[in-house]
Amino acid sequence: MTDSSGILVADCGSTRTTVALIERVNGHHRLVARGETISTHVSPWLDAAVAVRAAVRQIEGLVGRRLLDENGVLIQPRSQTSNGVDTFVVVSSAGAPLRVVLAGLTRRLSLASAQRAVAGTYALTTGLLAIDEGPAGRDPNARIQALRQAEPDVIFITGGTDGGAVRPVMQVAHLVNLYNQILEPEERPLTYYAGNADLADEVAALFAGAGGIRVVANVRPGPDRENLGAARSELEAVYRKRSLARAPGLDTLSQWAGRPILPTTRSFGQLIRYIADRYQLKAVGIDLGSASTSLAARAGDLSSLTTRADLGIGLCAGTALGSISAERIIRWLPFEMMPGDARDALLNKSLHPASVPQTWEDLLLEYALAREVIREVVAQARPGWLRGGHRLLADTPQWDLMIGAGRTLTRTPHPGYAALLLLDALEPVGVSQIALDGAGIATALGVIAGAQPLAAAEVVEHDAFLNLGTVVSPLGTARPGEAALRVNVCYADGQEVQQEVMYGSIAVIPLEAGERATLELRPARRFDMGLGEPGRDVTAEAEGGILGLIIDARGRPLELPADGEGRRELVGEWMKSLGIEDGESDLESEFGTWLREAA
Amino acid sequence: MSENIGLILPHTQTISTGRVRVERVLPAPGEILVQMGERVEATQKIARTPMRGEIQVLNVARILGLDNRDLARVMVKKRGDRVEAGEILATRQGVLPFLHKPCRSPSSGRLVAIAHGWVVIEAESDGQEGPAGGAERVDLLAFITGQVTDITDRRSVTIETVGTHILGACGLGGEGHGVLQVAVENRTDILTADDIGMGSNNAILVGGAGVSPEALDRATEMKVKGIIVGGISSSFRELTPAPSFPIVATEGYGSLPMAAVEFETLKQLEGHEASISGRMGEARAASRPEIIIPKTEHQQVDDGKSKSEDIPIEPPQIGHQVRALRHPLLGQVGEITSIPAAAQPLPSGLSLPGAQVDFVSFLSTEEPFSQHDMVSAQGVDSSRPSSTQFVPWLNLERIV
Repeated sequence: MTDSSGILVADCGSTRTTVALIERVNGHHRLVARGETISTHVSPWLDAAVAVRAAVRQIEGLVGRRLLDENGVLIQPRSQTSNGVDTFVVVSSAGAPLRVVLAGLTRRLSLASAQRAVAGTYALTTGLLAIDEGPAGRDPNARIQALRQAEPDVIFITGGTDGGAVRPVMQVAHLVNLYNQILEPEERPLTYYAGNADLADEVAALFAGAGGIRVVANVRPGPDRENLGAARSELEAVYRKRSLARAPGLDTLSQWAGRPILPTTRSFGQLIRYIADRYQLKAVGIDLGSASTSLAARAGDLSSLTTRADLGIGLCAGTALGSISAERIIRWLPFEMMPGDARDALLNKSLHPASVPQTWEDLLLEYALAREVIREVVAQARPGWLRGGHRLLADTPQWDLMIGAGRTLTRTPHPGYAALLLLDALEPVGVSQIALDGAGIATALGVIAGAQPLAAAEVVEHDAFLNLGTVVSPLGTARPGEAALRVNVCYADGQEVQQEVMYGSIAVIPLEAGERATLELRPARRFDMGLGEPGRDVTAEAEGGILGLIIDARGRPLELPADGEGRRELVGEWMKSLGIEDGESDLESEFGTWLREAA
Repeated sequence: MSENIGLILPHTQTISTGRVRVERVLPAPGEILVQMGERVEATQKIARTPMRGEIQVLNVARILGLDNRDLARVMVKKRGDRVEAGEILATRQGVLPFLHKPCRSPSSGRLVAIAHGWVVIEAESDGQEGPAGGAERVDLLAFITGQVTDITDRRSVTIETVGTHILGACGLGGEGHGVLQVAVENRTDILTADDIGMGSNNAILVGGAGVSPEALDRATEMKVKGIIVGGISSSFRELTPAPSFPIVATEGYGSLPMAAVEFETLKQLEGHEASISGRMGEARAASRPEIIIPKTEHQQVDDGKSKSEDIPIEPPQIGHQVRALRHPLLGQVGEITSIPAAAQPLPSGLSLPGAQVDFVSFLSTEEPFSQHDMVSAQGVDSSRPSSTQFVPWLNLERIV
């Protein structure tokens, strides 16, 4: 990809398709226009390009020039009359997720690492074969039946550190080999070996007569070492070839782009990594989708990407109910709702995934599900943050920057909804910045960041994100009514504001977008600002945002009262603290204006 | 209409009449029992295939006490052979005849793999009626009464008929076939146990806004073949045992009045034979539950268009029929009366582009849309409801 003045980026999601035009304006890359519509890779259209063309037509109407020719084909490169674009990139999550079985020695070691490798792309772990689980784990009858039920597209054999276990690893390989032999050649799953490297040749020889096996680097070469890169690349390639390539119409878009389509989750992960590295931040990003949810984190040498292809807020809202109970969801509501009614409403959402809440109650129910979906993904990602000396991050996640992406987070009636949702779900500790992918292109920007970093940087800095503000979250617990934190805000103009914030509450102190202030944070005796030293004062720099400076003194871990009435009242108070009241406020209109401009 | 350039609305043929085509697919290649052009009845078997049987893994090396896991020298049977229960699979030769040690098959089936000292036997059908050797056969029924128009790869049969096709929103269970019987007065009624009597035997019952758990029990007793309602409770998904018949909900989950047009259509077709499927695909699958009611006259397939042959992609316009997809208007059918240029606020606080839709004129004349319905649908406390509602595009699908 050469440096170019017109870049068209498309994100073909499972439910919605977004296209954005990035061009040079006064020498800088800027987001010029975007279009959005429902995705059309599904029946009755069965052509993803229909949606992209429709979104491009919206852009054409905004910029007043043609990007598609009379046959609906993208004009490339940009013509002398300024029609068309120079570069087109596509990301997509529209393919069906891979069905993967993990076979290995122990759930907590090699299989956990393999699970994290699988989480790098859109895949469902449909079976887990752990040989260390007593006699049942070694019973070939039970294991072969389990493999059959799992109907895998891919089997991943792992186990043994390099130079470590031999016999049990070969036992696993023999079992999988036996299963593959039962199947007709065309029915056999793609089989990978990512275990003890010393056994690679032996395992390869074993599978020589049973469809073969692909050997990749051990995902767990040492007890405290993890190496997911090779396995992730292979799985991503399989997803591209087996799933994305089969999604109707994506082949046309791939031809326009002149390159394979990248899975959206990978691109999103690349963007978070790029931002964290460029600005030397510990950054975490959540892309809350209709059919899947991705969490990307980057802190120093830690790079983590966790994708759940069974947890979403639209198409997979019903599937999410399989792992998240309705009771867990409704605890975030400030009003009473029966679990059965919540299930009914969320299942109806999964039937019409592109639909939006018409009532306030429906809106809050959707956000309640969003909280639990993100919390579920965080719980899966956390053990991976233990690797590489990031134990503190796993125990008390301290992020400099938290980014929310996905329509549910970025198209709220009031920015307080998104901020509260992210705080409830991520439970950050310390001082963090919260931003939203207001322009809806973060998922595609990662591809640009890899090829045209300057273009990505300029769009990131000027157009892509909406800064909600800085949040201060002390770690600890106390009795209700006790002070958790005293804050002294020193504004750039010399003014100061002091505030004591009580445990269990949220406070917002004005700090406008673009404004900076110095914070003197004095936590109470039992509260820690993330230094591992309760009661120790901290001085930090804060940047304002559309919400201001948020003091989240609810403590960590966040606990909701068991008493239903008290809980509902408290949740309502938290919402009011962030300015959420009847969906009407000055901020709402300011936020709405920003969204309209972004659109 | 320039504001709507690039706007795509999902669309559906919730109810269509004319040619209806269903493709019946075996889970694996098998035997097709019908011919091209043949007329078939809904309950007729049209194809069959053996279902994959239970797997039995035998550690032959251990049974025979072999040090070497290579079974080449001891196997009597080879991969692909059929074996009977008790038949010798492998023998270890002793120095003396009485030291010979056999390994016998514990069950009948086919020897599908020999590897690493293990032998795998898969139970399979013997091709006769009913289960055999622990394996069952999959019999594929026609599902609808009609004519065979395509047969592909020993695996799929396409059947066509002329009739009414109704797409459901969600459902439970498999497939059923019976005579349509409307069991409630109004589309807003819940089907209760009292509505189900002796006359419901083998019928497909049409309820209104839902079905009570007691009615499900009574329907099972009465050997009902299926139930069609507006909405079903999500709790029915966890019922143990699951209902023995399919349930199709035309609108969704919860207590939801059936759309007037569907209820009236089903009332008009009462007494006709109907086929219903409550099957839902996986989350990403496009399959939806369906109801097919062939015409009673045994007529040949005409050249009418089948569903989904026309795919309109032009922007929505005033006069288009639409269906609301979201609570509290979920399932309501109406007509676009105007398209505001700017985004409009919703009670949820969201502000989105959409259309004013007249839902009133699409309701049955016998059952005028009550003021209460309209007030609750708006989500506001208004004593003077408007005859139209603003609905965002994202919450509408076009009816074609």
